[in-house]
Amino acid sequence: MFFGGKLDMPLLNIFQLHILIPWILSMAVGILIGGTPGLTATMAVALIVPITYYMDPLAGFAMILGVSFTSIFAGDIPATFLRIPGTPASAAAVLDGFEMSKKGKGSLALTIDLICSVIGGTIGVLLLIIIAPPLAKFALQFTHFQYFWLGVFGLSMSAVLSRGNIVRGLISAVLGLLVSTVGIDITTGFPRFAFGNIELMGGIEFIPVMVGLFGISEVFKNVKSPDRLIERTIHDKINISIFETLLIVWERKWIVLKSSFIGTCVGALPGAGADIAAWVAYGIEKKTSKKPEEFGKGCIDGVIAPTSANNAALGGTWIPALVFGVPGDSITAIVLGAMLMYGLRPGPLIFQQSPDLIKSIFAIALVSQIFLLPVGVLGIKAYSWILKLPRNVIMVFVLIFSVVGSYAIRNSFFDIYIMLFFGVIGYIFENLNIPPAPMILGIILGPMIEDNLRVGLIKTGGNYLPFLTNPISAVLVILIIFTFFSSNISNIFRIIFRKNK
Amino acid sequence: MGKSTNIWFGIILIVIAVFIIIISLGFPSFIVGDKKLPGPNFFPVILSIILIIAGGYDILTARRGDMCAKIPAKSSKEYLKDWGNQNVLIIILSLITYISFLKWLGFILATFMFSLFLMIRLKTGWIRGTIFSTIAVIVIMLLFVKLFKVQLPEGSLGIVFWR
Repeated sequence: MFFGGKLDMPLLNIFQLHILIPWILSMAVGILIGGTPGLTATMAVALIVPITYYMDPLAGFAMILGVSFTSIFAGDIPATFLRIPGTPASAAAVLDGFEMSKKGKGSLALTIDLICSVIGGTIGVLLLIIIAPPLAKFALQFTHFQYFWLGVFGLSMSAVLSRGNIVRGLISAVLGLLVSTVGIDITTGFPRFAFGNIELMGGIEFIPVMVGLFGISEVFKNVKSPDRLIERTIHDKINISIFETLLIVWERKWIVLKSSFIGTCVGALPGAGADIAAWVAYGIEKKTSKKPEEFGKGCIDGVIAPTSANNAALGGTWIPALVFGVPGDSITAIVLGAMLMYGLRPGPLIFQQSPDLIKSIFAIALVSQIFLLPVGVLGIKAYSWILKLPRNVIMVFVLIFSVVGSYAIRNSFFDIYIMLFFGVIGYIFENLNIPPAPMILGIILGPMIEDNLRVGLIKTGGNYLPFLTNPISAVLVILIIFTFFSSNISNIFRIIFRKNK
Repeated sequence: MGKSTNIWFGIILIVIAVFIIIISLGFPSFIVGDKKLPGPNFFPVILSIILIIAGGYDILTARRGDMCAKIPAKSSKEYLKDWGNQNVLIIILSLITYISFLKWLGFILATFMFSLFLMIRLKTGWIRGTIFSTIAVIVIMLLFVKLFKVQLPEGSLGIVFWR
């Protein structure tokens, strides 16, 4: 009924009013949810899917795609103005976006962010269209051994993010990994570090930790200075000049292209979503930059890399989801459920049985990037208007929203205490010069690293050799060593060349 | 003081790591057939060992004076006299009180009181504080309860302002 019916339609049908109106409305909702700390893009998609149940499936896909793209972008708005990532995918955008905002360049940072999100998203979708089948096939070759190294490679970015002190970055990452071990052990079902507490048995939720580390610690920092409290949160006039910003982005086109490509590839690997893609792109850009010391201090390149990658990753996550029915991240996991709800069976056959549907999905994803531009501009204007209030009011608002956002995830008071605890930890980290970002990486990648290491060892009967003998593993190990020690290697080369001169 | 702060940080890391190892050693082994495979303690123990090494390195470099923490030399009395530091402590304590009161006062009343108290403390003024606290509560109720259908605590006192 479905395949031969409604969806066998020309591409222009996506511009019908019954599709267009809910599509644009869902994009506005995406701005609202993504821009609210504590509410994630996954939550946005999860809230939209039930609404689409009684709708035309194409309108449903338009709403799902629209809300996911806008919410990922909108997460960068509070990240830039308040140092509170709206979604986990915006955590990497905090580093330079917020520093730019402190210098009175918040609107420039967000306009760059918006343009890069549009370009990144478009490249992600184009790559999805062009290389979906071969890339997804390659990702399927990964076994536990390669996934373990992939996780370690992601973690090696903590060395790049550690503000020149690798040991402090490592400490932060290891603490994050330890936090990820709290709760029921998946392999044996044994509760670890729960101390009989039912809520700890369920593990520590990522969002309260993130809100605490970045948001609450920022509130503590702000309330320490009485003079700063009566200042406005945003000093600069919100001036969104798309054409001027396009020129800035054009000068850095290779960074946009590179980060978008990295974002799509990371997104295409099942289990690694937009958040990991943003960190990897940021780390690689800092590592390969001629001025790595400028990263974290309000560097434009540091805004471009993660914001291009996180939206590009969305296209990437659809690759394994559509081609093999394997979700690339939590958003596409919900999308797969929605596809089954519409009576579709994701997998290779969908390309043969329903080519028009696939074409329409690709078209919706591309057009969503065009819609993102005006919706994003309106979103920035709306949020910047709110943030013109004095800092003492905004800080109280941030506290309340952080409390509600942390509570809303699973209606748990315990999660609010977790947020407060990690807020204090973040404040201590700040005073001890420990970067909080590697801790977030550790929490995200912890389950991936541990599960694949242990399952791999179980499969080999405790033999570590298969972790190294595969060519893909070998390449990943070389990349990890290079990331950790590249500053030392480059110093050695510098000394050698200086001597030769 | 910066140096001793870093040394203390290294010591605390080692203590945490040893504590984790002791707890982890109490986890059950994972034996399949006659083979002992990596169990629930495998990963935490490896991480703790890394933490001990990093903590030790931190202590050594701090003793050499390589690392400098931002924490200035201040006695606890001096620290508490500072208006900004008092704010940090007041926020932590008021957040704990707010969370405890949320359960029986309900979201609306507890949030309004928490918001007003902090706004007055942070020098917003009574009138502006009352206006902004009311706006904050209304916006959150509209956004989370009405739009996103999130159930916020109504409180055991049964005071329901909004359904």
